[in-house]
Parts: sequence; structure tokens; C-alpha cells
Amino acid sequence: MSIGVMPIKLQETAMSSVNTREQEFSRIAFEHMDAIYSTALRLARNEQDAEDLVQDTYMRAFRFFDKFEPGTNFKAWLFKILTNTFINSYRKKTRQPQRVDFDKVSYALPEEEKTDNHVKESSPRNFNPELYRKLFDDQITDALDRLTDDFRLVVVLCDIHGFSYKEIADIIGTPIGTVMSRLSRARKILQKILEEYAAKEGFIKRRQAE
Amino acid sequence: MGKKCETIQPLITGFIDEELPADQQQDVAGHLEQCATCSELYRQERAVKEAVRENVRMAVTPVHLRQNIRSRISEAAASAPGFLKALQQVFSAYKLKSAFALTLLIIVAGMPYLRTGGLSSPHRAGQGEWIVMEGSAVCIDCELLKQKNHEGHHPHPGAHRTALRTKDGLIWSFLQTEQGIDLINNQNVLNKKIRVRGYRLQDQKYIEVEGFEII
Repeated sequence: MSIGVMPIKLQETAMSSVNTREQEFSRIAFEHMDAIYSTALRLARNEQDAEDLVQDTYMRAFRFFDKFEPGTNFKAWLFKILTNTFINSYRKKTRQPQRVDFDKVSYALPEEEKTDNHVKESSPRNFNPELYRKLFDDQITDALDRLTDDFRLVVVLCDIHGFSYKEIADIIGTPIGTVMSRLSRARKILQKILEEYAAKEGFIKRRQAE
Repeated sequence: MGKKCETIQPLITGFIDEELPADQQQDVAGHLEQCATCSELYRQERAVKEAVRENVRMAVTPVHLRQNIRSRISEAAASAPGFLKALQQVFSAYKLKSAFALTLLIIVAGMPYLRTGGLSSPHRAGQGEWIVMEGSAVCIDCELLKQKNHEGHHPHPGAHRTALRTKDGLIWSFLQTEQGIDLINNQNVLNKKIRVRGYRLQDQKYIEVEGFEII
């Protein structure tokens, strides 16, 4: 059995343009792979799906590389492709059980009550920001994984990768105001989960019924 | 809760991320100094942000994934029709993006005529000939590894990628179009006889898949 050797009849001009495009893409895209992979892991929440997601993201990015406008933010462009790929093909077939929608649980209250309720609930008398430092980093990752996709995504983009609100708005395709309100709610839900963990570990006393 | 608190609290998130306009940023800072309730909310949210930032680690891309992507990109780069690229290069050299798009549009718009016209087989300008090929569906990575290393090969990490081995022993890859990718990722056809319809890219062992079936 033999494998057909690729004929070298390709026009040289065409070939050199192929190489330049591939080299250019590799040069600017590969340095972001750890960031993309880390985000894919948080989105897909398992290694196999994360790997598929990264691979699809890079193949799509390469295919549409001509559409990238030089001089604009390439990293954000790559994240946008990652996000779209995830939403379009991975979210549906996620291998993990459905997450609790904390949004519905904690925020199904009318606007005014919501704020009052929140202030009361999230101000345990002995709260101390330092207590989070005592939690293990995988507990914090786990808390993050318990958020719904939309919330988890903004937290990952803002707090782990340091994207600006404008960049995030561009990546996820929402107005800047939505980015801020989503972040705000996501952090409040995270806070509740972290407090639960801290209480379980005995770092803070369980809230007394008030 | 005072009126001021009502306007300040929704801004705390933006304040923490330093995303507010300078005057609002100052406004919030001023209020936080005076209001215990709001500054407590600020303290709590900032603690959450810091906990995430400091504890959720960046992962390192597995080596096999990096290699896989590198080789798939090289493959995709080599398999796109040379004709199209040559054309594109000519136009981009003169910064005639729109002229390129227009030419492409004319070619693409003309395709249905070429395919349904008087020709005996559907044929596209300069992009290879219409073919129907039969053979076994094999994984290209497994085949190449087998060739490289005669005494027992190691399984490659990652999924198998389907290719077509014809009776003469040649291996045909599929161009990564929508249908091509479906076939490449289709693990059910492996080791079965299949018939593939599509375009053979000129002078290349690549097929632009239009359809396939198990036979």
C-alpha cells in the first residue's frame, strides 16, 4: 500500500500565500491557546469536550482568518469564536447534569424586595473577605462551575482574563449594561455559594434565622 | 435605604472593575466613605472578584491537543483550492478586496449554470472534477502511523479522522467543508465500505464532499 505523494504541481505563488497565511495565523493565534483552553474547560466543564471545543475554535478561526480586521483585538476575536462555537454546538450536548439556576431561585422576587432581601441575606455579622482565602482553589472553581453558562462566562472573561466590559460586550454580543448587570448578579450568586462552602468548612457560623 | 444608595448600588460592580466614567467613579467612592451598608456590599463583591482572580488557575493546553491543532491547520492550509488562493493573492497584492469579492461572486453565481448546463458531469471552473469513489473508510492518523512505524504503532490521542482508502491503496482526505467535516468526524463509518460523491481537487488527494453513503 502506498500513500499518494502530494504532487508538487501547485503554482508557487499560490503555495507561498498558503504558507504566509498559515504562518501568520499560527504566530498570532497559538500564544492564546492556554487562555482559550482554560476558558473552554470552564465552559464545557470536562476535558474531552474542552479539547473538542478548542480544536473547533481554532479550525473556525483559521477558516475565517481573512475576515479578521488587522489592528483590532485578535484575542477578543478568538474568544468570540470560542463563545459562539460553544453556544451553537456544545451547550446542547453538555455531558453534565443540568445546573441549578440560581438566578431563578434567588432572584424571582420583585425589584425592591430583591434589593432589601439581598442586603439582609448577604450581610452575616461575622463576614470577612479573608475567609475566602481559606477555601481551596478547587472549591472556588467548583462554585464557578455551578453558575449557569451566561453568568459563568462573564465572570471568566472579566475576572480571570481581564477583558474590559466593552470587549466582553463584543465577545458575547450584548450591550455593555447587560455585561455589568450580569457580572453583578453572577458575583452575588457566587458569594452565596462561597459562603455555603465556608460555613460547611466551619470558617463562619451558619447564619442564624433572623 | 436612602435614595443615594439606590442609585449607587447598581454601580458598585462597575466601580470595582473601574469601568465607570471618572465622575461616576468619584461619586461612588465618595458615597462609600459615608455609607456603611453600601461599603459592606462593595467589600463583599470585591472579595468575590479577588477570590476568583487569585484561585481559578489557568490551565496548560495538553501537548497532544496543541500538536493536533497544528497539523489540522497545516492540512487545511494545504487543501484549500490553490486556484482560489492564487486569485486572491493577485487581487490582494493590489489591495482590490472588493474586486476579488466581485470576481468570486461572478464565479460562484456562475457555478449552477456550469453544473446544470450542457456538461455531461457537473464541473466547476478550475476546481477539480466531479467524482464518485468507493473504498474503505479508514482513520488517516492510524494509517499514517502504521506506515511510519511497522512494528506496532501506538494509538494516537484524540478522535479518529475518517479518510477514504481506495482499492489501489491510495488514501483520500476530505476538504473541511461542512459536509467534509461531518464525514471526517463520523466514527460510525470507520472500517466500512463507503461511496463518496464530490469534487476531486485538482492534482490533490483531496475530495470536496457533496455526499456519502455506506455500501
